[in-house]
Amino acid sequence: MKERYKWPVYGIILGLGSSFLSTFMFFKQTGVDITIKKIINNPLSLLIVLLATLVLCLVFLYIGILRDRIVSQREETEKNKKELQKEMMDQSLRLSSEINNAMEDLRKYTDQLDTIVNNIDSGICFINNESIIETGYNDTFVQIFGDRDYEGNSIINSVFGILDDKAKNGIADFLELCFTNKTASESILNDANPIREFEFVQIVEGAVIHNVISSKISIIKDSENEIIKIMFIFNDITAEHELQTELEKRDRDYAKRYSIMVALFGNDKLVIRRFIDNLEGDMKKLSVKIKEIKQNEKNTSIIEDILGIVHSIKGEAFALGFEKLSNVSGEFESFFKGIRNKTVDLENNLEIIGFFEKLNNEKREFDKTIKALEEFLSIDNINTASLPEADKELDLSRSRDNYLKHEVVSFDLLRKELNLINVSAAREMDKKSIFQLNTSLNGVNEIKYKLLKELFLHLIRNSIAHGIESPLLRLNKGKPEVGNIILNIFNEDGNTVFEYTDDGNGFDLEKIKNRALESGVVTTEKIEMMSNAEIIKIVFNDGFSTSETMDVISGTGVGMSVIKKNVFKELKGKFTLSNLPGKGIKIKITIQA
Amino acid sequence: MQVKYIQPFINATIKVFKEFLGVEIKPGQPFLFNHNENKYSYDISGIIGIGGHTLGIVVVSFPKLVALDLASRITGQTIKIFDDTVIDLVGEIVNIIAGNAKQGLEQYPLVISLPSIVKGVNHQITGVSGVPMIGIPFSSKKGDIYLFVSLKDLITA
Amino acid sequence: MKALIVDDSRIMRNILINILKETKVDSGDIFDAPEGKAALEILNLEKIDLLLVDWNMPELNGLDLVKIVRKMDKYQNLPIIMVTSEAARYNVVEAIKAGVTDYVTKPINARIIMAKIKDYL
Repeated sequence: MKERYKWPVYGIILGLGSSFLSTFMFFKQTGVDITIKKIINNPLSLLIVLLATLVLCLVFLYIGILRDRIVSQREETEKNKKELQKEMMDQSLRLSSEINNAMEDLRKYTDQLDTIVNNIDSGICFINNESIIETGYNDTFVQIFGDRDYEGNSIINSVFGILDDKAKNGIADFLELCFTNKTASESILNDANPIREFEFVQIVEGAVIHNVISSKISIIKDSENEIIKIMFIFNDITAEHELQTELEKRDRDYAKRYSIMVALFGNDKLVIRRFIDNLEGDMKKLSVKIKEIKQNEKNTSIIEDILGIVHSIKGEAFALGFEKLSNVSGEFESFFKGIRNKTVDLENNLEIIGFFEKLNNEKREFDKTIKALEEFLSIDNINTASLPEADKELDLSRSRDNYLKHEVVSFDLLRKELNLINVSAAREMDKKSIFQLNTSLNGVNEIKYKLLKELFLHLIRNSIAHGIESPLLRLNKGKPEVGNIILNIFNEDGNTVFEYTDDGNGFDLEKIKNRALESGVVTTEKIEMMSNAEIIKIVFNDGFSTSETMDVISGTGVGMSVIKKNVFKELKGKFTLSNLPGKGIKIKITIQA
Repeated sequence: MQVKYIQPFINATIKVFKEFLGVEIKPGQPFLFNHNENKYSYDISGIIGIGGHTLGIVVVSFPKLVALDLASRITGQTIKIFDDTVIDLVGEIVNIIAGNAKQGLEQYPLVISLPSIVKGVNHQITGVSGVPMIGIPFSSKKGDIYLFVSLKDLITA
Repeated sequence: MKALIVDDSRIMRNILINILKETKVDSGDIFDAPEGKAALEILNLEKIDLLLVDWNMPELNGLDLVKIVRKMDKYQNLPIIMVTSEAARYNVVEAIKAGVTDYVTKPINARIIMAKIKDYL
């Protein structure tokens, strides 16, 4: 039963009871003998009782209702409060689970992204539409560009900072292009990428590192197709690039070597050898001269010397067909001609060193080619492949000797080689001479050839220096203006005979005598006893020279002694000499065939 | 090795010493640098890497005394100890030289690295393999400063 | 799926038509035009889903055609592939700015162009 109904019932019971009791007590006190029957039968008293009961009942009813109302109000508030609490709890639970889910998603996404970004070999970074690098650049990115804090910095400054301004502008324009053209695909944007390949130079622990980097972009859009950021993908392609450069260089080297080889084959072996020897000497001289050049001074004489050397390298290289060598020395020469009348300042000095190195490089290339060729041609080449490195060189030189023994060198080459000597010596001495080599024989092996060449080289030089007279003197003597040096080679009794003649003045016995006395080779008494032939023999002794001045052609005092050494010691041959004073000399050398 | 790439570094070195440090230096006779010759004395170097159409390094090397003198000039107080401050200042000087040289090289497709510092008595300086290192001495009152250059031309234009 | 090929060379158009047939576009849905103005008529009449366009053409050239097409409401998101012999980087930039989606340089490689077309089908 509800509380509110209880109270009026209490009121009725209490009202009835108490009004009865009070009425009864009232009559009793007033001395009226009264019974319940009397009260009931007395309408007045009954009315009073009923009235009192009613009043009390109403009062209690009111109290009951009032209480009920308060209670129910309280209950309502309590209930509302609980409901609200519950609702709030639900809501917060829902929210937190939503947040959790979102966090989970985000974590999954970043994990995924991190996995992608950190597990590929490319350097990756993200940039926003202000070119600022965002979080999430990976370790490879740091490896490529160096350990710095990139986050929050402009990619142009922190990564492309060392590129030149033109490139930087290009990148800025490109990034704008990427962010503003929604219709363009990634592939077309990458076609427009100005830094698809660029060079990155940095110094790590003192070492300069040149890296070639490739870059690609990937556009990241949101659900509304708006571009939110760009992912840059960088790859270090240095190795590939080096390989490519290496291959290109090898092609170029091969082309260069090929042209050197063509020139080598187009010329006589000995002419080439002579050229190589000269080149070696010239380069040494050149390096000495270049060191002598002092800054800010007029060095006309040194410059003239250098010009002379470079000119001769150019000329000879050109004549033999060594195009590159000739070109480089040509450039060197024209540069020197340009500065001949100016001071050699710092800039010129640097240029000179630059040119010298360029020339030296060409020479190195030249030497390398010849060496490679020699190795290739050596007979035992194949066997040496398996030899340890240390033995290889030794063995190569041995096999080269071996090869030289078997190789027959034709006298045709000897003719050309000696003719070259004749021409250059005659030019140097302002004399005129013709060299002739007559033979029907093939040739000799390389070792003999070398000795013979050296021998006749000295004979020809001496003939021109001392035998052949100047053109004017010859004309005065009634001789033809041009001197003749003739070498006949033929077989005789199973031997090879070399018959050398010149039509010069012959040995000047007085000159030899004086010179011999001066140098103390013989005493005055002894020389009086000597025959003409014996006097001439002095010429072939070590260190004897009749020349007054030490010139390039002859006069070093080693010339004629070489003849003796080569003929007797090396070639085990015989040697006869006839002197025709005023008319020339005749030398006959006989060696075993 | 092309002189057109070296000249801006020479000019920049002279300019930076004159305008920034108030020191007149005079370039001397260039030479082919051979580390084994041991003729040159320096204690600290700033190395600048170059890439692009030419590849290699440009090095500015200072003897201790010169470095200390320069540091004193910049800071305005006498510095006698060869410490990190001096090293930092040398780095800064080389940085400025590189920056100035860059202006003269703008027309060429070159990339120039940020300089880095190496120290030690006559420390090893290695150029590009197969290319000689050219040294240019600059004489100053406190000693010689060296500019070492080793560049390999990848594209000869 | 309707495709339009705009190129002044008949041979080039035929090559591209054949490539499109390979990518399973109905031959009835392949339209072609020798220059921009004719192309615009087709673009107005039909709802084209893929546009292959050359750069250099008489009358209206490809770049200008793309600019006009991009202004038309129904073609805001139309994939436009430019097939051209202009290979320089600044040409590509110009094409991007006009609204081109992708770029193929002549001489074309059927495999490459087919791969690109498939991206937009």
